[in-house]
Amino acid sequence: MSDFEKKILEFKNRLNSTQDSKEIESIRTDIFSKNGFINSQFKKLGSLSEDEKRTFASSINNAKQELLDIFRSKSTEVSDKDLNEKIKKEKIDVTLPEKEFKIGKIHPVSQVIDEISCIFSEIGFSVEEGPDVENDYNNFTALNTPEDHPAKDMHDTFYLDEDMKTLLRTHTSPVQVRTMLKGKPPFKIIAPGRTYRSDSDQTHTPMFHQLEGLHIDKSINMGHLKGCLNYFIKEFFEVDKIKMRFRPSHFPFTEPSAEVDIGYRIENNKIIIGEGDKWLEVLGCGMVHPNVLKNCKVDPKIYQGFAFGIGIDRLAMLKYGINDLRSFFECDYRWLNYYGFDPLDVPTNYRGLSK
Amino acid sequence: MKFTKDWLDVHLKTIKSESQIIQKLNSIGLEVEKVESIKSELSDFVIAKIIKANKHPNADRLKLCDVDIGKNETLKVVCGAPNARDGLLTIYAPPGSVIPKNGMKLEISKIRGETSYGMLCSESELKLSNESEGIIDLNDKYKTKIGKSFFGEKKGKNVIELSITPNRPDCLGVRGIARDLAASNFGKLKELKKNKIKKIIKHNLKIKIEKNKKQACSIFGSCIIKNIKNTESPGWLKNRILALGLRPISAVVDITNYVMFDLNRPLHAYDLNKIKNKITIRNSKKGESFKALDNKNYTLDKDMCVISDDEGVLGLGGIIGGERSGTEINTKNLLLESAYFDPAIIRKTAKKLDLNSDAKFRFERGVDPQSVTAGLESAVELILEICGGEVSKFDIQQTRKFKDLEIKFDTKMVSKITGSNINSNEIKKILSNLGFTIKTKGKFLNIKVPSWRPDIFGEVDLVEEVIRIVGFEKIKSIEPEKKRTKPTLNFFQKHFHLAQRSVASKGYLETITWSFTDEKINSKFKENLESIKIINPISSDLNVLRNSLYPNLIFYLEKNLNRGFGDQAIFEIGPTFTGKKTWSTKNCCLRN
Repeated sequence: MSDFEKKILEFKNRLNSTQDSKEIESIRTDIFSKNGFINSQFKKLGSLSEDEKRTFASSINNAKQELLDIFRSKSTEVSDKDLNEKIKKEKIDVTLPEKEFKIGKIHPVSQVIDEISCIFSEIGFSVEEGPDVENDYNNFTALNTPEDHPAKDMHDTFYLDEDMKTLLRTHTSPVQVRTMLKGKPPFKIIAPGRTYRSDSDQTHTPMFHQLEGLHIDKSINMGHLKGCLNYFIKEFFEVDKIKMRFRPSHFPFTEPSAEVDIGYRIENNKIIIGEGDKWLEVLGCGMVHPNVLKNCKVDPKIYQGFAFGIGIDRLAMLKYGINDLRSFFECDYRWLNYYGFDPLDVPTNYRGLSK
Repeated sequence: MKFTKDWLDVHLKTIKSESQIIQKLNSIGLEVEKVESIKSELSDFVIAKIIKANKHPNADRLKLCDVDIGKNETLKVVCGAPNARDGLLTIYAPPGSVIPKNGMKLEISKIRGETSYGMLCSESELKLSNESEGIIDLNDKYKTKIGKSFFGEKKGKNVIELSITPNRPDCLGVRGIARDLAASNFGKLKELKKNKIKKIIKHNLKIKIEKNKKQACSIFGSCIIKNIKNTESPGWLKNRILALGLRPISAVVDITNYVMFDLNRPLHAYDLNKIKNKITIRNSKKGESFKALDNKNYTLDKDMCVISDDEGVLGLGGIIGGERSGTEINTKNLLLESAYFDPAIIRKTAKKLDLNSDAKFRFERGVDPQSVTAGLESAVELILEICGGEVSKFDIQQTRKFKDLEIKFDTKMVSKITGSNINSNEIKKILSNLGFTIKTKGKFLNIKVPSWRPDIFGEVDLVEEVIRIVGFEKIKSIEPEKKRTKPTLNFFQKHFHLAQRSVASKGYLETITWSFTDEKINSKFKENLESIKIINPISSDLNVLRNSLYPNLIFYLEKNLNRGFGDQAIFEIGPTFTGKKTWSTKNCCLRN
């Protein structure tokens, strides 16, 4: 057998033995492409005598036709086979069960805001809001915090312009200012919302949630303030009795000012709220400073009342045993699923706040 | 603010125990942040003697010392100090003790194959000085004290640390704390003892407060003390300085620090011989510079308050002194300064230069302008006692009169604000114990505010003084009324609530993401909105307010994908920002 015949046989075997479309394609180029086997044989013709030329040329043409036929049938066979396999694979099994429906979850912060609103609604507070981007006047000046006062150091403020007039609110207190400026006393509101301070570590995040409370009327005094917060804390933690202490403190916008601690103890690595001999700071409050009332066009000779600010995230952590504040904002799928609430679990007065 | 009970005893005659005092401080608004025993840190360090300093078998530069710490047997301690030698008296730190310099806790360890039981200390390791060349070389006096604690073993001595709110500069001095306790029936405030000081020499340095616009300095009191012998402070003073968490330096420096923490009266001591000709208190010129006591060079802007002589800036008034005129252990003659600086200007200057000091901390909150002379007297007395010398008359330059504020006070305000009835004799007693001067005028009280209380402006401030001393626990709680006159939620809030819960009920998990985001991701979603930059972002990838909810949601969606959760549905309902003044609440859901 000549080399030519050997080569033809080899190609035939290769084609016959494959089931792979890629392999077929590579054999095709080996035989029929510009520099393939057939063309290389035709190039040899020039060096042959007339007779030899004729016989060799016809055997090349015969071989070409033969290989082409095998190639075509093989190619159809393999592509049919591929298609069939594909169809077989993609067949829809209508008897399979449908994809499981999982209900979504409400973020603990949203749930706690609803719980708090529910409690305050019962004693006549309504919900107010204000923008996250505030001006320096509403966030500081109107709230009796003068320029260049060290009290400003307690707030690490994010600014949006170089002359430090537009900022992200550092507390929800500017909502007090907005509410009083746009309405007439009496005022009895709560204002939950996002607040911002440029602080980031284990226990601080650059964004967190606060709840502001404001009650202004003709004879609202510190007794009312104590009663209101006592009621709130008891309702929120869903206990009959709670150990609480009011400690004098300082905020520029209230006078007198107080911080409120609640008692707790640790039992089996779990925190028990309301009893024990340790104290945990949960909120700041006080009687609204007459200067703030004046700035908000409310006559301090006639009206007085209290305000308070509560860290919502902190309360959520305490009530639902969440350890890391930062995890609130990390959107971890597992965390959201674990700590989130069923959306149908709406806190209500008659059923109770939590299940 | 830190102090110890025995320091408090200097000002307060009381039979109350430390724990009662701590409880009281909390209830009158002086929050106790920490109570730490000094013992735990320093009494571990004992005087020891190297019996034999052997060569370390495996290291040329180390020695293996046999150390006598007053026990039956000697200990093996590996030491690298060049001055470790037979018979040296030094200080030994046992395993378990914490080295003040670096907070390192010692353990028994093998050093080049030899076990070392503890460490021999250098002065710098104990924060006694900057000397770190070798271990401490004690003199022969200590020979009889081997095994005794170097810093003294006053057992159970606690440092009480208060977190003082910015409105109470007077309590940045121990005397102010004592006064508050005395007003709370916790003892009697002792009179400041005044020994007559013989002012025998002449104050011959010319001092002038220049008339400048926004001149921060309005009182500059001073005296000259000559022929002193500056030395190491005596034990009691050193212990108080250590209790503050400061490092004892020399008697003169320690005394000025002591008076600052004792009376909230910052002082500054200059080496008189280093002052050129005269002192001028003036506003700085732009570009002037000086080297401060913290060893850093500061280039000043215009209109910062400087104390200067004919050669240039000596120091920044009320903030920090300069290196050029600083006192040293061999300083013979002093100029002692006791001044008053305007809080707002001090604050502005310090902020601009990013400079913090104990003096600045006090001046920006408000130092008693009437304490200039008392501060000088207190310090002079101690300097004469410890360092000797002769003192001049006090020179007080003053450009502004400070008048005590008077408030017309209706005692009914107390019950009106607090809801508790407190009788007017009780009110008068509390206020007068706190230093207020009271005159009855018809139905009202005429109340003069003491000069150390810059936080008292009006009637409500007096109400707070009364009620915090009486105690907030005395206020009777009034149960809230269960009455609603207005709907709790408005139209928009009801729909927010509905949208939030209905999306969640369709299988989406609610997330809360930052209101800020990465400008690079945000720009892909902001469409034609301007990006709103934060001037001082917490990090460069949270540098703009979000124009859309997508950037953060996509970021966290990918994070969850990487955690291996392919099948997820999340949403957020919250603010997006369309401009610096405009915003809207958006609800955005993503399902993967």
